[in-house]
Amino acid sequence: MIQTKSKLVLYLLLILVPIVSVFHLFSGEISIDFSDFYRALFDFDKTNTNQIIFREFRIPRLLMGIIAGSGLSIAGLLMQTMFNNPLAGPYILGINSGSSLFVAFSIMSGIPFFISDFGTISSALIGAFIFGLIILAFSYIVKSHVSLLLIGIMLGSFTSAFVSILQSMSNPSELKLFTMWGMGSLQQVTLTQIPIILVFFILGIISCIFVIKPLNVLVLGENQAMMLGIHLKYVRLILISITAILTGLITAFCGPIAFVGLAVPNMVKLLLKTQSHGFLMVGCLLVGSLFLLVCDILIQLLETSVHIPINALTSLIGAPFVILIVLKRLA
Amino acid sequence: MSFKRNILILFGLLLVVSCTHENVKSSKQDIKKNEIQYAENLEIIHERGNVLIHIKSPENHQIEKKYCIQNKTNSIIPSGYILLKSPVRSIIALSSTHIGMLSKLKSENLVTGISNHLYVHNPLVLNKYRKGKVVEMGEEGTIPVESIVASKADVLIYSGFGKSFPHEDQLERLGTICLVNYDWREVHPLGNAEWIKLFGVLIGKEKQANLYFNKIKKEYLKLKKIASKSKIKPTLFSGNLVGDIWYSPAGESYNSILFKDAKTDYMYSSSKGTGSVEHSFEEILKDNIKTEFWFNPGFSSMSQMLKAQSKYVHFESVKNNKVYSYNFSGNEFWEKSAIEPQHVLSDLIQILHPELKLKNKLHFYRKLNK
Repeated sequence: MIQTKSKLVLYLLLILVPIVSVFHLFSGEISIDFSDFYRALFDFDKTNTNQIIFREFRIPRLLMGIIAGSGLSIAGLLMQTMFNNPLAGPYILGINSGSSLFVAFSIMSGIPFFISDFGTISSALIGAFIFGLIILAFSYIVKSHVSLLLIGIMLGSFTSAFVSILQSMSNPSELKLFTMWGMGSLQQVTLTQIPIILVFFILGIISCIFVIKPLNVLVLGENQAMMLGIHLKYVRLILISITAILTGLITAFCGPIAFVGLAVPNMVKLLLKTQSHGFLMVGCLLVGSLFLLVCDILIQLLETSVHIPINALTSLIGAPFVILIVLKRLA
Repeated sequence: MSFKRNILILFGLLLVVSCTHENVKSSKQDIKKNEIQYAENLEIIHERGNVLIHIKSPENHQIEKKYCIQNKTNSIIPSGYILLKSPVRSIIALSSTHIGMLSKLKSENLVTGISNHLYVHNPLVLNKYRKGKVVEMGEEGTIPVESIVASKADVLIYSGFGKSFPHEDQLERLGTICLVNYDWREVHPLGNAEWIKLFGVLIGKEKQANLYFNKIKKEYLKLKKIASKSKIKPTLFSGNLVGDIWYSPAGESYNSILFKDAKTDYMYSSSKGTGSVEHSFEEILKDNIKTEFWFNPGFSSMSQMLKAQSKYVHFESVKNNKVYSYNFSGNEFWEKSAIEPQHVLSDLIQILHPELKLKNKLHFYRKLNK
């Protein structure tokens, strides 16, 4: 069971998320006062620049930060438990790359349906699902954790090469659309897109509730889980599907974001010191949101001197953290 | 005695005059005349039967590369110069602007290598490419040396994105001179166009190149004068988002000069630098929500542009359908705009100053369709 100290940590995180969110809302380069914030929400004036910036830019960016941070962290947690590997995550296992490849196909096909929001989401979800299945298939053949991660990295390299070929063959306008998407950003999302994103996100999160018990058992090992009546084949398929929904959704709207899915679940495990996946999921939701929001605040604070893409900053923070985990395991 | 002295003085004077005449003659031969007026990174000097080409570094304007074309077979090549045999008979042109310049001299048939046919507009070069007479080399810096050697091109012209061409010395020994072209780093539109003179001396069409440049210079300056007479100064902004960053032309840049010459109130005209200035999207929206015109959004249709970023809809210029782009025929623009700056300026004046009733056709820019 979770300790009182860990519960306190969760409560603290619960308080921190709204505080950081408010800070995020007011951390842009343009200073906006509280009255504009209030009017942007309840008495919106379409001609007021500050209110437009607040409503159309900062609120979607904040919501996308929370969704992307928490969604990728949950996906990472699922992968780590499923493969019983703390270094697993949607990015390193090549699931993000699957999304990217299929989005590249859809954008560079030039077919209007595929270029639409729905087309992009569908492609990203399908790509994530297929690559999730591929990595699952490899996990039956390859027993070593490191080898599986290497296969994930190779899948990533394979898709990068394929995307490069596609880019060299595509016309300049399609190439531009794909390049813009691939740079990754939290501010691509609009307020009108938020409902559809929320639907998929909530679907993914609710599905997680149903796999808490199997995940808790999977920690004991696959044989133990089977003995306890867990239908591994179905559980794995469900876990891959949830990961595909969350990763595909976020990749479709923000582009690839690295290391969140790998680093955050490990941070949460260190903070909460529990194997209870219910708590770990809540922890991932909160820490994931906080992690990406803090990264985005940093980006906005540094904007006057240097422009850092979100993907670069998450890698800058996430990669050393992963090295630390590896060193700790070796020790 | 006095007669003798007078004779001596006269003889002495004649000697001085004749010597002076000789000096004048020899100094006329030695005249170092830089023919370049606007380009800051190029010098073309005629000296003792040679044409000396100096390519300057765009960073500090110090001479970076020196080439020599012998106009007389017995002329002495100054030390430190790379010998270029003119007229050049085959050229690998790695940038579309190079093809544009050669085409103005009716010499695009000399092109035997390009970087990528997808970025070529010139029908003659494309036709030759389809027939296999023009080879696709790939991007600058990634071209296999053996492909260049196999092409047997006399000259390879490259853009030099901050470094020399790989294996430049070896290629020179194997017969292909690598010539860096910094036209794209020129700040003044006429400076960019003036690089046609380099192509002129290379292919033995110097006179035609000079004539062409003088013609477009006259047209450009005439258009600038017409624009200056307008009593209005329309507001405009330029550029688009790349990731989370909006790149706008800096105040001393090529585009900014064009905007100034077209008599407009460009939002970032006072910013420092010759490249671009970076802003966040929020800043751009705050500064330009009411700005009248938006140029160079990087797209050729409104739907495609709004697909890339639907928040553009908040700009007045988008609401009033006053967004203009050259992307309808991007290849044509990149190939021709450098060598036809008068047409770019004409387009700007035509769009921004309808009161001047220029009645020229639009060459590159079009309004983005809703």
